[in-house]
Amino acid sequence: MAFPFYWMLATSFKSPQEALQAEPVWVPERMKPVNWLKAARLGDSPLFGGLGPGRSVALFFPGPEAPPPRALVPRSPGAFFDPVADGTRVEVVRGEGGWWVRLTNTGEAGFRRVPLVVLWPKGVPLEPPLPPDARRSQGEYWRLEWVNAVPGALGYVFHNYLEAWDAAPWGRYFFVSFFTASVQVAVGLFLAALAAFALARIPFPGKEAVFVLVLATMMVPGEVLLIPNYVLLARLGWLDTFYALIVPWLASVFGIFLLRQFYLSLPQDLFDAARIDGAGYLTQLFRIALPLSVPGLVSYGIFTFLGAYNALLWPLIVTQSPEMRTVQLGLLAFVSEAGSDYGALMAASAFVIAPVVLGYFVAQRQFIQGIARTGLK
Amino acid sequence: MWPALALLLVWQVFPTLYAFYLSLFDRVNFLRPAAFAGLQNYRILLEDPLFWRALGNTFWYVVFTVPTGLLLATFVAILLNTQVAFLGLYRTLFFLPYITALTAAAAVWRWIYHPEFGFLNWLLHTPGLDWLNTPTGVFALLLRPLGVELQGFLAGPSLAFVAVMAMSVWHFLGYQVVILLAGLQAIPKEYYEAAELDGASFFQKHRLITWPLLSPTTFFLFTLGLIGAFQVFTQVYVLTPTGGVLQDTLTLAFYLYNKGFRDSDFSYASAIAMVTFLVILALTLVQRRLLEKRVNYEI
Repeated sequence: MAFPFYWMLATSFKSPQEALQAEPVWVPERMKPVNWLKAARLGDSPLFGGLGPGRSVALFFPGPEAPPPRALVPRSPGAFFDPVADGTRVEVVRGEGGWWVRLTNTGEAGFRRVPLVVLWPKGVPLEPPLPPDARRSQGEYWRLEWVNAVPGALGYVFHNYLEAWDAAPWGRYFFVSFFTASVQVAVGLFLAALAAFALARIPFPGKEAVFVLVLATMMVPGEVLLIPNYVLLARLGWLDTFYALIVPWLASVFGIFLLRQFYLSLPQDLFDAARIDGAGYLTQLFRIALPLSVPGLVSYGIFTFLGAYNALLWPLIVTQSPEMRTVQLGLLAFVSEAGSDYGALMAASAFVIAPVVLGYFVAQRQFIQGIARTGLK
Repeated sequence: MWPALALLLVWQVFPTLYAFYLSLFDRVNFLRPAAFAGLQNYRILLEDPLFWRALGNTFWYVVFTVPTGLLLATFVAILLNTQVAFLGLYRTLFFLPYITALTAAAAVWRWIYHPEFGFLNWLLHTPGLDWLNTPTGVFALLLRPLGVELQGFLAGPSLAFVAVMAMSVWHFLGYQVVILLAGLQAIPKEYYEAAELDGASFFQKHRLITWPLLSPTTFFLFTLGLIGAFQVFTQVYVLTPTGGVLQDTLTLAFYLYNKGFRDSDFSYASAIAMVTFLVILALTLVQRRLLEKRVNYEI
């Protein structure tokens, strides 16, 4: 059960070469604490790394005097102008018992990432200052590649996460998702509470008919509603807006039933006493019924939030512009864009599910009981 | 209560009727006024091989995932109910997949199923097996060594679709386990104590006490699973975005999405939706007739 989660996390820390191994790598280099310490020594800040203007960093490779290694900062493929490659001076100097590769920022701006390639002669034992992200054969040399020679500890470990985060406007996606889900929960709870109270406690003409109607909507699968609701939204001009994401899901039969069950289980005496004290229906609802049905509210809230946050089909249909994408849509787009960069893809998956999983660990009891309660109808 | 009711009317009751209304037209889109066509869409639908393919696939999906999921979940729930140590940990393990977004989970599974570097191929020593792009039916695959060649519907769901199903069972198991655990805890302990005094074995206890007394919960989950399985979309869409090789993972919801939102034929998509609705309704009624008699509501 837990394996896919482990595999997701392990892959999210892998370099591309580690991810694309025939033999699975269980503990990638970036998960080993000894490498965190090594990475902390590289870069201006021990945590975040980076190379400021005029600053330099030196990497030590123990080895004999001859043959000498070579080093270069690779140009990003296809770029006409590469400030990092052009603004970094690379020197290979002989030191005591080995070689120093010194990178100096000669530009005006600071660099967050400085990729590095070292050509290391074959046959010479290799003890790099940081495990290379890729190692290929190139003639007489091993071509050792680092995606970032100035990572700092966090920059090293979470490299894939930073890559994935920078590849798309995730901040906006998270805002859209959280806003949609929160409004659905808040307004949905309010509406469901009102309706459930009326159905449970207030006698009015036609109540039976209303009840049957509400029950009947439960029989209709969500699939049937996709097209007509889409057409309706299109007619209203609401497509690609928050209205489209939120409004159709505000009233929930499930919520009404759940809360109605709760209200029905409260003793009638409570409400009679309140009425004698002169409380109207609204006062009865907000002062008596709601405080006593908190478990039901929590249950409905969690269910609605999960549903809204995890939804894919509805947002896929009613939104088009990147500004209105939810995180799930963002992830879907990323799946097709990321290609074979499985490290970044798994990192994106990990931070997409992180809020819900964190919420689960904070409020484990509420989650389990809330979901269990949905079965007691 | 009126605001909630109004919303329900506008977004759930009215659309159901509107869907039927739309399905009576000839190709509704926003480009031009549509002509009334009566039941023509339904007539086309009945002769549409892709629709039958989608229906067949959905049928296999229901037949494979619903009973498997329920059996596994019952088994796990009984085990968790007897073993007290680390209950919270195990429950979390089973529950996490359920709260995980299907999109992210499917992305992870796609990576596990990867033909060259996927974990599964390494585990099973089947290098290069392209799980999600193999259209051969599993029955055909299993029986081929015996010299039996199966074709068409009888070949069973494709290997790709079975891979999707495995992921779905994994995802929904936690929900069923949590609900079943709640049901198990409602069964009075005295029954088991009495059975133990009479010398009942583990198997007997669960067959004669747990199974009948748990039947309302199982029945509820069965109904829910059936309805949910008929609407499966997300995991199929993420794992096989094009509907698989030869449309071998096409489901009803997927076909509806393709027709409505890729081909902009809202009326035909509505017809698919109405037929799906009828099938679900019929199945729910049938299973109510057949099974509910055997459900024991009294504890």
